[in-house]
Amino acid sequence: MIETRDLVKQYDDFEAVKGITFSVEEGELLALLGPNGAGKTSTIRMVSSILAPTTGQVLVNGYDTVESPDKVRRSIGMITEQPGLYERMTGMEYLLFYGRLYGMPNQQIKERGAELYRRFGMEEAVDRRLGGFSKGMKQKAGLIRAMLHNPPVLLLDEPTSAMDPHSARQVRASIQELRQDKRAIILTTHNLNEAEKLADRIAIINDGKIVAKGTADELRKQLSGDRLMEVTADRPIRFPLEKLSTAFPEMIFDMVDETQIRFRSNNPVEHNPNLIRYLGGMGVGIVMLQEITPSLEEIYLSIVKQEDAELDGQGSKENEIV
Amino acid sequence: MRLFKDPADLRHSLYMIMVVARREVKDTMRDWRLVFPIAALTLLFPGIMTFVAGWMTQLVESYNAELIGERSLPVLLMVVGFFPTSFSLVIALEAFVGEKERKSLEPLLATPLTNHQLFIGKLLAAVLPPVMASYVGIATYALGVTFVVGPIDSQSILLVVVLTTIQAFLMVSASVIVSSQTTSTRAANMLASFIIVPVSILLQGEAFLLVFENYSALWWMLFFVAIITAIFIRIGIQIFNRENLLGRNIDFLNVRWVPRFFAKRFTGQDMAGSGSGLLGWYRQTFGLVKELKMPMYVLSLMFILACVAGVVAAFLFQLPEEYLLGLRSAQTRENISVMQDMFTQLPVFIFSHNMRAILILVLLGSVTFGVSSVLIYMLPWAVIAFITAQFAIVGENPFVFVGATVLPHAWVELPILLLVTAAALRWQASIIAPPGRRSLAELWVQHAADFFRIMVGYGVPLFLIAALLESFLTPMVIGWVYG
Repeated sequence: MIETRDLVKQYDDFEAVKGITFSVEEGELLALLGPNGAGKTSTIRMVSSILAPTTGQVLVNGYDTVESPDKVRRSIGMITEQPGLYERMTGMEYLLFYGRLYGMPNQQIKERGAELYRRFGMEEAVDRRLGGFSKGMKQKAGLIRAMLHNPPVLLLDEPTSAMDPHSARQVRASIQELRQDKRAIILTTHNLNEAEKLADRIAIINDGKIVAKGTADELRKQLSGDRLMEVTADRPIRFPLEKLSTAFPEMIFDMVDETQIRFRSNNPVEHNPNLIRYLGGMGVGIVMLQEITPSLEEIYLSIVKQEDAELDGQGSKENEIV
Repeated sequence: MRLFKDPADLRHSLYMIMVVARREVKDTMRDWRLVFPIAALTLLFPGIMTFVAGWMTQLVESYNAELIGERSLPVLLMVVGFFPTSFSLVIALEAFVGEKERKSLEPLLATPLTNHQLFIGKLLAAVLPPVMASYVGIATYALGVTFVVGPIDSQSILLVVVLTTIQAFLMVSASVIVSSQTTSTRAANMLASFIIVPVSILLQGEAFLLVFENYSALWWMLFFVAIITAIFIRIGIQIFNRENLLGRNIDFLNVRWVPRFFAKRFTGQDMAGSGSGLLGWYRQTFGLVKELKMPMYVLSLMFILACVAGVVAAFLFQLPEEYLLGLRSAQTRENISVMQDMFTQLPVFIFSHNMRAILILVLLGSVTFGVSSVLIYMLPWAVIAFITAQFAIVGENPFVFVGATVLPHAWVELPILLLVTAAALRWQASIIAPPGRRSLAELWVQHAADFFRIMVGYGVPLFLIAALLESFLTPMVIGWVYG
């Protein structure tokens, strides 16, 4: 439904997007997760055919965004961080304006509009001026506008970024609601929980490149490295950690407190029983041994930091060469 | 750039334009900050002006200067008509940049609206309410004055109506361009003085012509203002670009980029290579000739028109007898022999004359979108055709005259002049030409670099050869033919 191939966007001397490739199938929600300035909005604007890629290609619903922008725009519904409503219009007037731009007859716009306002629990707002809506209602009105012509593709560019938690929750619930329809949805966000809750797959984007992609679980598995374990002892551990490191050179140990040790292992099936036996031999009883699952936030931050460090390294190397 | 493919596309485009315009007009009419002043200027101000007209007429009558009172009536009519249209400037200036600031532009750009539908829709929306208000104001004043002082002549009313309409379109087209090329309303307002000052000067000129009842001059003035307005609308459509509206900071003046981009294009670094070194550069430059087909076709047509115009002019305005006698073949040989001593200095003179002509062609053409370039290009050929036809009138063979005096050097001079003028024309017209995928600035600098490549690579050496031929070969041929 959406396919990008080696997408690059250059603004004068600045390369905002550096070769992004991904696809989104029908009924799937892909979250583009990344910090501010990572290239998410430029990517969305290229997918929506507002910006032309410098190189690379985007296909939306089978249409090329450069060759058939009109067909692409008919296939998408888009909302941005700020809903950008015409505040002197009523809810229905707003939909009538947009519906006409998509070539819909007035009667159809009214029926579809009323249905969508009802679906999002805003039927009383149809004849109210948009300027009087709360933030959450405004963004929902934006969603209704994006859904009006029943597009197979939805592009949601940071829809909850500028919102208070209550409004953001309302909008997330609406996005959840949209997932029931068989649409391809791209959601850009820098909110990890939002990505984890709403998305089928997540692509982490940093400095114009996708640095990781997969489901939240896959990302954890791919990116957390050796598995992190935590041992809780029945008494304070009095011997130095170096003893453990010497006994298990392939594992990395860290003292949490005097009864807890954390370690990383690439083969817990073999290492864990050995460690338990070793600690038993040292007179330490084991109360608990558990795996510590890193949060998506920890993974995301570690990736972004790692990327930034690599970039800094490249920069300093380039400076050295110069 | 074709705006419409077929009648169905035109109908669809008109529909889309009207959808945009209708929403904007509705929005304007709901904003009391715009509606109240427009209403006041539409109804209250014409009333005040009617009172002023009555009072002033009585005043000047008491000094036996009825004429002043009478001629002031159309000027006041123009003022009444202009005031409401000044609001079009306010509406148009924030047409795009206002939407951008309110974040409502991006959803609009993601709809199937094309660039020109959006641009024209916005333009109409900014023009229609103030112009309608202006018409009501003009009607109110004209009616009031008819009762208080007497009727205003119908030509004045027609002139003021047309003038108000065209001026509103002029201001709006310029303002919409400003609005689409700035990133904040503040920046757009700052640039508004570039519109207000010339329009104020224009108004003063129009008032002067109205007072002195010089209607034909006013109609001509309106004709030229209409052409400028059409050019502005064309430029607006040409440079309006979704990408620029959201993609980059276009307020930032990146002066360093210009010489860099120019140098890259001039040296051919950003072009497909045809080998390196001077030969490669020449091959690349020769490749540019293909891109100049269209301006060369136009200029070839203009060459024929210039020749026809010269011949027609010769028959309409024959030279006096004493000059015609000098055109006989025997006289030609004598004329040449008089110039014998100057031949050594001729190449430098002819070459520098041609360079000066190219410089004037470039400078004037730059401020007239290439129109002056075409006229300057046509001028020598019209003159040659004029003189050749005068030769024919006195019974000399015109083909022998052209073959002896023009052809020996023109076979080099004409093609290179055609090529150089075509490159200049493409450069000068790039501001109103189809955009392609490059920005206006990129296109302009690229075409400038192409012009200089052709001028340096082919223009200078070939004009030099043509000057040498004209100085040494042409007199020899003349001597041989007429000697």
